Amino acid sequence: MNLIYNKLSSVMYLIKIYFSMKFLYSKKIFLELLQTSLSLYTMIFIWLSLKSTGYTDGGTLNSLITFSVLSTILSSSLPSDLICRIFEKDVIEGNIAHKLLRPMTPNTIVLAEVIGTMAGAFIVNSMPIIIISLYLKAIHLQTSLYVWIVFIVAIIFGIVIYFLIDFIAGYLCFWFYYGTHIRHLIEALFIAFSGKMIPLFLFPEWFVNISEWTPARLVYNDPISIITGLMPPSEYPSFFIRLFIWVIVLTFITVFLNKSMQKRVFVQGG
Amino acid sequence: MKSILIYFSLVEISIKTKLQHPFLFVIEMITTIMMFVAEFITVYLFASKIGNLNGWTSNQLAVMYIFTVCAGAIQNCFTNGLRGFSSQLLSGNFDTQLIRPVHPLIVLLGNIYVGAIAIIVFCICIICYLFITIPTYFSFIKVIWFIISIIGGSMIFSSLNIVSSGLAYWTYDSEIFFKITKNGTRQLLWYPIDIYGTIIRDVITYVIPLAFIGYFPSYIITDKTITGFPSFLPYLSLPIGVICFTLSIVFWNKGLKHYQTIGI
Repeated sequence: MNLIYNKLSSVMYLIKIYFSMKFLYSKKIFLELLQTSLSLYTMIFIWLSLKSTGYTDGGTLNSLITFSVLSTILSSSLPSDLICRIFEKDVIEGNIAHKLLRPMTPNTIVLAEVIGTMAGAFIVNSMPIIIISLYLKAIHLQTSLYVWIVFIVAIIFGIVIYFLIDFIAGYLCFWFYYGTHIRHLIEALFIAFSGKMIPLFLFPEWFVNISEWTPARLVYNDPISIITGLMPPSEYPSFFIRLFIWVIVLTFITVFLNKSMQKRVFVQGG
Repeated sequence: MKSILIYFSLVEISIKTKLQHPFLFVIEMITTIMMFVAEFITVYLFASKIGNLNGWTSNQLAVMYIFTVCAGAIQNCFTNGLRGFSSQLLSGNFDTQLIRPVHPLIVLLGNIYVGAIAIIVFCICIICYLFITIPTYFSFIKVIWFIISIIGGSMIFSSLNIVSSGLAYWTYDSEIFFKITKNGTRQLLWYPIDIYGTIIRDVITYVIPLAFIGYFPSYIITDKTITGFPSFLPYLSLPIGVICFTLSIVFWNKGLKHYQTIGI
């Protein structure tokens, strides 16, 4: 019991360090917020322009703006391919040796860093957007408790899927050493099929059908569609089936690669 | 003249270094192209589905996108070496560049990013697609204007990168400025600036002339009639690029004079 407590407190300490690192430079925080706001500003004006021309397909102006706000909040909180970058650096510089010697596994250390960074990013980048959006009444969410529960479950598993993909990319660095190419592939997948930039219902049907075979849309498009009411409750069962299939598949791949990675560790230098 | 020769020697070294690992280089090219294809598909299919965005059709938006991406690729190729500049200042490694017989900016710019060729290849493919789809977009004069505008656009982008790195002389961390100029403005330039509010529209036209990268040059290629702005603006990409580039170098040199080593 004491051992578990010690391990947990070590993990919490690491999370705290990476969380506080996010607040080191106040001016940097402001500039990061400016960067996020610019992307959101672009999307809001696209929707305004679209609706001013009388485009009626898809959601209402409110639902489109809400979609973009939530998507920005999520993308500015999720640390972009951080796990892959950490593993890549560790493999190239040989730091993985130090991490393997520590009482915590490299996975735990990396996960702590990612959660800490994510929590910091949420406070720094996302909270101001949430506050401003609420003040301007820019977001219109579903009020049903049932929808909120479904949304929370969807968002948690969406983040799990995001982390699993990042872990897979990170483990692949033990074979390829450089993760740039893997990151590019994952980024391509997310740009096209996640609905991160533009909701998927604004794309042709054949494209939406392809996206249903990818895990990317489970991170952004589907959870946000649930809370904005763009996904009707009748589609929830099929959504959860896809969600859990992908969680199982990605977990299996992650565990498999993790075991293979441990056999393959190669430490440079002497 | 000597500086130019040194610059080309540095460029040659960068290319040779990259080609030391041909397999990795090819994979990087392929994955980079895939990333841009995904980005292009997103913009193009969205525009196709909605019909037009404030009077701009999907093909016209594709032209604007190509201008932005192509100018960005050239800038990325030639000013990529500036990305790690702030860490050089922090570690004190920049001092070693000051004792070299060439301007430090030339050394930094000499470290080119060869992978940007992939983006140019992607742009050529899209241009070929547009040529097949809409042959009226292409004529000898338009091709000349296209090239001139791309050069101007890449100079505007490059000047932003040079200014971003120059800020490191005062802030010691310029990564966030790179992020704002690259990621923050990235999406902003894919769409016509006339959809944005007056403030942003005027800022990116008259203060930070980002509109001269893709928006204004697109009028020349697509034969659209310009409204709300003087009709000569689409032809000003190159002069504005040259002015911005010169000013950015002046700014960078001002920072260099301000530089004091941290003595590590």
